[in-house]
Amino acid sequence: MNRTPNIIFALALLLLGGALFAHSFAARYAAMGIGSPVNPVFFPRILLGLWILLGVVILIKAIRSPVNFKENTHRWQEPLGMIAAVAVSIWAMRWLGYIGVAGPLAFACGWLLGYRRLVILIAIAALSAIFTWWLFDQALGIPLPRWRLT
Amino acid sequence: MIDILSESFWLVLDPLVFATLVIGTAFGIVAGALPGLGSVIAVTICLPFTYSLGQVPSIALLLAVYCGSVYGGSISAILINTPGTPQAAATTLDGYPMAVKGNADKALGWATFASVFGGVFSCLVLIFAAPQLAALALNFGPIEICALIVLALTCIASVSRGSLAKGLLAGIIGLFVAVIGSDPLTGDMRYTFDIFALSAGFDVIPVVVGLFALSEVFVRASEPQKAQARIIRYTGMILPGLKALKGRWSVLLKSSGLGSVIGVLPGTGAATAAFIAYAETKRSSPRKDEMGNGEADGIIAPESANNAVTGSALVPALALGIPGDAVTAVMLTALVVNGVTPGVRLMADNPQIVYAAFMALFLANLVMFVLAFASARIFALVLRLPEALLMMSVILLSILGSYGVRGNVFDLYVMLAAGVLGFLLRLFGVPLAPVVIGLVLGPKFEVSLRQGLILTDGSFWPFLSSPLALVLFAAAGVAIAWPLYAERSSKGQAK
Repeated sequence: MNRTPNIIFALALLLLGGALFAHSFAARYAAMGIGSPVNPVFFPRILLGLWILLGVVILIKAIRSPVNFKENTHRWQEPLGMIAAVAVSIWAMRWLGYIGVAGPLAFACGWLLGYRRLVILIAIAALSAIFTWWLFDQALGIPLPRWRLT
Repeated sequence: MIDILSESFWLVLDPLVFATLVIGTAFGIVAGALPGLGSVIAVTICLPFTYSLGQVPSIALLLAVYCGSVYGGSISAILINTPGTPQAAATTLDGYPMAVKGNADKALGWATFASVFGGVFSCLVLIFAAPQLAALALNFGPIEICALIVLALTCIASVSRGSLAKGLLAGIIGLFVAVIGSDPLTGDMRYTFDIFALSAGFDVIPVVVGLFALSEVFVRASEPQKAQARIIRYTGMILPGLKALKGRWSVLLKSSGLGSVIGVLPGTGAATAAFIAYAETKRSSPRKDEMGNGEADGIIAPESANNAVTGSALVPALALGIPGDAVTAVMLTALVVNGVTPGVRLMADNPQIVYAAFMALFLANLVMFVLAFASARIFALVLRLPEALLMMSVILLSILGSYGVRGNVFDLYVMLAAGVLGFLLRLFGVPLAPVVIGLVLGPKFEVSLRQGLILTDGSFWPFLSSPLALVLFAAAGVAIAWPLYAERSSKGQAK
């Protein structure tokens, strides 16, 4: 990984840690645990203090690391597409049920990972959706979300 | 004692247990053989099957998957020079050269024999060591438990790949995620941001599934596509005869012993054990000059050591409730879902379950031997399976695993968020194992720390007055200081 993304990552961690630490001083926590030697935000504050400290160490290390001009070979469209496909599938599961989203999700996953034999991909996506639904919902008795559009 | 053993024996004799052992071992071998999938993901994607199986079959399934996956890594290490799991990386050093010489069948025979030997050896270690450790741990108070968790987390962070700071931060992230929800002592809401679904906190399973299984799919999608590796053909498996074994028993015993000892230590794991056993054999074997050119000692040492970790890693997990690595952390989570709480009370309250687990592990090794011998050629065929189709099943099982715990769609969003977090952390070289172990140990750590502070009126000094806690804290200090010292001295040598 190049230096700049590492610095951005360290900064993001630091900001997140700082924001969570600041949140521990919100008014809602002030009245908690009165009379006890340790209140409920005592432990999170220790953790977030260490988080910030380690964030600073990682940031300094990232700044001091040598600049790396190696070409970045990571692809971004495919993982982002995959994240979007999973998010849409979860959202749609309330209405389409498991079986309604599992097939298209499996197809999208195979396609985004570069499998281009369309007929085989459709067949395997459909079969794996049906088989996993049967195995869990019918055979193992774990109820899965059902189709609700009708 | 006899009553408990016979009860455990009958629990394991259940046909369902036998079926889960066979299916779990076969699945574990396949998952281990496929490069990049590994033991953690194999155990993680099996979680949904444990929800309806019952206690002993679930334990048997997870142990069988664990054993099978550690062995399975050797198949791809030998046949395609790519270890299926990090644990099998050392096996490539002699396994592949032996296969290139036309002896792939012998190489797999050595790997199988050594794996089963190491696995059975570690099972014996588990049977003898876990009850002793559990009996000792009954004397632990909140301060000692707190010190033990600090040691476990620092060990895991310090031996994780990448920088120490990133390893420690990963552990802190895991501990912080465990804080979200209601306070374990007062019930006050913390960091829920008025989201009702967060009031019970995060369930560990969707987080683990997202971090390991789902992030693996995202990582594969982000990597440039690779050409399929060349697979060496072989016609079957040839097990070593007594003549071939003569003079190698010392390597087997020493490597299994090393693996068993290393497995008990938190954070070290099977990959470390395999490399240490290989290095020791290269130092002491009478055939050391041949190592690296397809010498059987170079397969025996890592394979017996890495499988010896499977049993010994369960010693602290079952006896203390402290997972030594990510695989045992996931397994502990599954046990809790099935109503078994690992820790100091487990041996006292549910001894029949513990002994059934020991027997299941022993049987898993025997099943692994039979399966590997009977169908190694079939397992080798899975190396030809397209990655895209494999990841398709990982993504569906991730969804089923996360949804199945509570039947809650919110858990699927948690899984997705954990998957994205895992993807980013892996991209920036932050190890994932400390996150999961922090998450699993978080509530216990917080409760023991706060109970300790209540006992000491808010003072930290009495924490150091307990001799056992002092030793554990000192060991944690060494675990942090040692990598820093090693890094500085290697930099000094480089200059």
